[in-house]
Amino acid sequence: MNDWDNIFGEVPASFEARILDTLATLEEDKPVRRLGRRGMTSLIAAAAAIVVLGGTALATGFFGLREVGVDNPYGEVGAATQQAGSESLLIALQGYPDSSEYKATAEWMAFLAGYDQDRALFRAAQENPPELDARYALYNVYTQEMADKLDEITEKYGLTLHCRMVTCPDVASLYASCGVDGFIRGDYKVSGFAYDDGSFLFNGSDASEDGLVPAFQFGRYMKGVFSEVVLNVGDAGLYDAWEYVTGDGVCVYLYLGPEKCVLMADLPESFISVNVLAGSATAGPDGAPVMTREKLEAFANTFDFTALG
Amino acid sequence: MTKEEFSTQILDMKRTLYRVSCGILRSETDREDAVQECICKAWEKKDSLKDAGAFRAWVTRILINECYDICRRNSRIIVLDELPERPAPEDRSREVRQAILGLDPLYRLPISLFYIEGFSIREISQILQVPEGTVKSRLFAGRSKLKGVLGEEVLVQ
Repeated sequence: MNDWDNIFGEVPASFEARILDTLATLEEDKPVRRLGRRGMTSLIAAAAAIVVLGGTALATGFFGLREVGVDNPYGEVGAATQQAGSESLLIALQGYPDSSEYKATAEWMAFLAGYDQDRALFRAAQENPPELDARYALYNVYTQEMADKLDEITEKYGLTLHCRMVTCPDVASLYASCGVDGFIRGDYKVSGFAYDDGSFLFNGSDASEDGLVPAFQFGRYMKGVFSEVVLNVGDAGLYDAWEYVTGDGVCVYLYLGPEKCVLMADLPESFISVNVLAGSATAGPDGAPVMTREKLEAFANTFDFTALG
Repeated sequence: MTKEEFSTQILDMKRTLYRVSCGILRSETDREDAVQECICKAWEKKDSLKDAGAFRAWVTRILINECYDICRRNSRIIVLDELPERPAPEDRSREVRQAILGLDPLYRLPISLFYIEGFSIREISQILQVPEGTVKSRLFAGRSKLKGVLGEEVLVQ
C-alpha cells in the first residue's frame, strides 16, 4: 500500500456488500443469475409507495411536465418503473415545447430511441474509437452517423454546441466559471461543472441544520446552445403544478411530486431547470413531508434568477 | 478457475475495483451496478482468459467497459435517486483526489491505473487497448497537468 491508496478513502461497505452479494450468486457451470440493479430497485419501491396527489393545474401559457416529455431511448429506465405499474417520463430541461432548444432535444432523443439499441456500435467504438471532429467531445457521439445527425439538428434549429467544460468544486469556482456572481442565496454546498457558453449544472445540498431541501440539481441552459440532458420524472400525472412569482418578480413554474420536485424558469437568455431530490411523500426526521408547496416556493426564493439572465 | 479462487482474486482487488469505478462514475449506485456486472461477465468469460497472471488487468478492463456503458446510458439522464457525495478524506488526499478527478478522462485513467493501482505501462496498454507510446504520452501530459495543480512532490512516491 502506498500513499495514493488513501486518495479515494476506504471502500464503502455498500460497495463491498455488492461484491459479496454478486459472488454469492455465482454457480459453477451455470449461467449467471443477475441481481437487480439497486438504483432501479429503489426506484421501483419508491414508485410503488407513491400517493396520488391533486391533478396538474395548467394556466394559460404554462406547460405541464407531460408537455415537455421526449422519447425515451433508454429502455431499462422505462422498464424499471413499468414494473410498478407507473409511467416513466423523460422531460427536456432546455426549454418549453415552443422553443428551438426543446425541439432539438426532442428530435435528438427520437433519433437515439431508434439508434444502436443493442449497443453494438457503441462497443465497436470503444474497441476502435472513430476519428470524430473534436467539437463533438462534450456530447455522447460515437459514430459519424450520430455526428451528422447532430449537425443536421443543430443547423435546423440554429443552435451551437458546448465547446469547453470545467469542473467547479465550490460556489466560488462556479461563479467564476459561469460569469454570474451571487445568484445563490441559500447556504448550499455546491459542486458541478460549467461550459464556456455560460451553461452549467451543479449538485447542491443544504448545509444548514434546518435546510429546506436535502439535495438538488440545478441546471442553467443557455438559449442558442444545444444540450442533450433530460430528466426522468416518473409519472407526470402525480405532480401538482403551479405558477409562482418569486420575491424578485421572476415567474417560475413549480412541480411538486411525491418523490421529487422540479422548478423551471424561462428567462430571457437562459432556461433554468432544478431537480429537487425530495417530494411530498418523502418524510423528514419528524415524519412530516420534506417538501410542500410552501417549502418549494421558499426554495425558489433562495435563488436570484434575475442575475442569471 | 474455481468459484473460490475467482472470489478470492476479486476480493483481493476490491480497492482497485472501487477506485477505477470512482475515476469514471460519480454515483455510488452506478459504481455498484458496474462492479456487479463486471463480476458477472468476468465469471461468464473466465475460460477465455489464457494467462491467469493477467486476471487483475483483465477484470479491470471489463470494469472500465461497464463503467463507460453506464456513462453512455446515464449521461443524458440526471439520476434521481441519489447524489454521489460522501464525506471526502481529509488533508492533502482530498486535494489530490479532486485534482485527479478534475483531469480529462483521457489522462485520468492512465494516471490512476499507473500511480494508484500500480499497473505497468504494458498492462495499461492492454487494459485501455491503446499503444504503449500512447499510454506514456498520456501519463506525461496527465502528470504535467497535475503538477500544475499540486506541485512536484505529490507525484514522486
